[in-house]
Amino acid sequence: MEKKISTNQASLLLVIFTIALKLSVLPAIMNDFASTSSYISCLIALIIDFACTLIVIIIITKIPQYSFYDLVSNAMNKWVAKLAYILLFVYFFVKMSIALTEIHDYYTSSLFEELNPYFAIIVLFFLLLFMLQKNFQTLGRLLEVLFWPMAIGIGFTLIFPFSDIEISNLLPIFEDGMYPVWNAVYRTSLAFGDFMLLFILMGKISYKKNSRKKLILYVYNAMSFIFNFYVVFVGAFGDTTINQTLALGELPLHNPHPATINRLEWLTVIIWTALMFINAGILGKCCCDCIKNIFGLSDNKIQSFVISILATVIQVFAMFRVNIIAKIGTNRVAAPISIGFYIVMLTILIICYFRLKKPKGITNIESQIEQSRTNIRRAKECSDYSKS
Amino acid sequence: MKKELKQNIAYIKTRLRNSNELIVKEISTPHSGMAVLYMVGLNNTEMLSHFVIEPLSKYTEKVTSLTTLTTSVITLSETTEEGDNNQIISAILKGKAILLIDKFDKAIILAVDSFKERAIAEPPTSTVLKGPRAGFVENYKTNISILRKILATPKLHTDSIVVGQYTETQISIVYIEGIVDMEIVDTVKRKIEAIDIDGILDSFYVSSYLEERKNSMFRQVGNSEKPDVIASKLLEGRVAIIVDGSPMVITVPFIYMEDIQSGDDYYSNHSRATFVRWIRIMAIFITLVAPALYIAVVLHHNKAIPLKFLISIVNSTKGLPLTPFAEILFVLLLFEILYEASVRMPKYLGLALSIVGALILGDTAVKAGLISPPAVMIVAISGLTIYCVPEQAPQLYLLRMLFTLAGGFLGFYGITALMLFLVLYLCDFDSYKSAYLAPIAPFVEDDIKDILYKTDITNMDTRPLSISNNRKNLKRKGK
Repeated sequence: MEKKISTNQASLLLVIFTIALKLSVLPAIMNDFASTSSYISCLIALIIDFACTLIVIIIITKIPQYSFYDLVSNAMNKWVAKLAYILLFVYFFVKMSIALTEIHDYYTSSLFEELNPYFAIIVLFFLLLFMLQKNFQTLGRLLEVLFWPMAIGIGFTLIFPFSDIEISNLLPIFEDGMYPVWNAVYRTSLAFGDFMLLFILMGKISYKKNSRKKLILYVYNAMSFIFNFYVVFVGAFGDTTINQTLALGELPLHNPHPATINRLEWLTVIIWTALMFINAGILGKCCCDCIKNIFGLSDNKIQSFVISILATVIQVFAMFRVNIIAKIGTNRVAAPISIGFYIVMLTILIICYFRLKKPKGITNIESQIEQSRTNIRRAKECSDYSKS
Repeated sequence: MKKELKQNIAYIKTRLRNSNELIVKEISTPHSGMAVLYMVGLNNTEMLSHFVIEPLSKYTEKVTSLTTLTTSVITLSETTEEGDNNQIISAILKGKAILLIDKFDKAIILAVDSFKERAIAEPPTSTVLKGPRAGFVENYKTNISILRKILATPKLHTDSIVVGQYTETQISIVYIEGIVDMEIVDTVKRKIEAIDIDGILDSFYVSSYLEERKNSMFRQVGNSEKPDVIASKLLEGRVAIIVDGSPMVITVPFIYMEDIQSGDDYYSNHSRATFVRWIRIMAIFITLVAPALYIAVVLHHNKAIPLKFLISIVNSTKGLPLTPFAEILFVLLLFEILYEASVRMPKYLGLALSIVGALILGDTAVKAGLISPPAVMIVAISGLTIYCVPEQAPQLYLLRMLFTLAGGFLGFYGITALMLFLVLYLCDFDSYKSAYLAPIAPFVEDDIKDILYKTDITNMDTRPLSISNNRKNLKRKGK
């Protein structure tokens, strides 16, 4: 049985998961769809995300002993549970691919022109393999060590751009009407939906007093940070936002103040790399968990090796087709699929929760009583047979 | 043992291969023959003469029982009757004397063992500016008595185990009943009893057997030569292991952050102690990544450093025969050689080594254009910072080299990846029911007051939750 993680660890995992993929390419992509109103799109997407997260948190804290697999198997049947996990696997795998290609693209195209990509790929393979063999508790502990140094580092590098914000860059809102704003939300929906992590963490969290409040507060803070980041980013870059492919690195690079203490973006780059490595690890771990539940595996080695190999293949693939997965992630087909996926998963969770609460629960007990009777009858038959 | 005195003496002589050190002192009394046997140099002969031989030689009555002798004739405080041959031989070899009496198949073991030991002095490995200066010595009995003097409670327990086929070393497991988690005591006992080795020469041997993750470069067992430190660890619910022949007392459970704490912290102002702790944490970080960051910046990310600094680096590295990567590795290697030589070299040659190291190798090599000043400076800084946390030095040397290689080959990417490997490895480490990185990971709010900052002693009213003990959350004061 896997060790339970503390609420603090679960909250940090959720925060990193929420933040990681939104600070690099996404601001530029959103800007492409919604222009200077992209921060409004971000706000809408975050509000929807937050509402969904709230529902999931409330449900999972009410049934702390159930994993998502146990819940669906009990309330519906195991095949529905397996199907749900297949969908989850696809979602996490696509997100992991995006994270890996983002790391690769950034290092090869901007910072690290002379880097031998094979070196980096080999390192990433071993790092992922090592990470995936650990349990969620270890990943949570990793974040407990690294989260605050990373947060302080990011905060420090973002202090300077605050003075660069020009309000005129943030206006006018809804210049081209509401459509571009909603379109940006719709087309970038794959980058959101971070409450999906909670489906994997279900049953693995050890709750204490105020756990629910703590989880909600952490998510709220993470989302507030993202929104503020988008405001600063659009406010600083205005019309050129669309060209900034690594938002977190570009912000400290753009403003004139660090010239006195020189370039700070290297600090951001290190933190961002760590953030993306950890995020890829969490996503990979979620994939492993899905495989474990789909095939009923008990050992963690096979799936971690398979996921690490797949991640390596993605990295090699990214060497030749730069940014293709990010493009696929925002195309017309991906958007409805991801939104449909969120709705389906939330519906399954809610239905299963209510079925477990009343009618299904009674049926379960009845079936268990019936099963016990059958077992007793069989035992008697066996006993009679052996006597004869 | 037989009833014949001569047979018994002959047997012991044969078992000890007629050793020249074995003294057989025969005492003639009117009614029965007696003999005292002991190994020369291992005992206090004055005590033997005064409390044993002298009263026995004046004894004129017939010996009816050994108990009569030990209670009314021999005035020595510690005597035991023993009939087992192996135990008798072992007692002689450990410095005790034995008294054999004709017509008795048992011997009396006389505790006159006394071995010259050094005085209790300040240990060289942990000198302090303030606080107690006493240090443990090699004799385990003295060490236990020092602890008993500090912890004058009947709840302080000591369980002894003999380990080592040839050394028969006494190992004492010390703990405070009611505070310690008895499961940990049992685990420690089981592990020590299972040690099957020819000899235990130092407590390090035992700590290797107690480590839960073998082949790890990180130590999993705490150690100290200072009685006040060990006493405080016992009060927190740890188990101490005292090994005869070693002044280093070991403790479990051990958490990484114990190395950040120092005895001085508890005897000085808390704000100063907090500041010093952060210096130590920074020192670990600088040691690990300073050479790696330098080489990563010079080789891969030279845009990241200020232009003036970059120009000065370029000027100083211009015309060097070695590449920057090879150069920093060379200086690191040179530093390791100097360190190793300075540790092993006789003290009177220390000055000569300083001259060779600092002047000839350092200054001259820079002037000759073999190595650059920034490389020497970076390695010197990282070499200096290692000694802010001397207990971590063995692993920091190795990790510094690994980080330098990662920075050289893969720049920031490599450093970040290796850092994640390292932290992840440490996070996955549980030793004796305690997380290795506690109270940081898992985060234990109550224990932070003695880790990341040092609160005033009046606020430290609970035992640490990071280690497994029986009285979690209970106030240190009173019940």
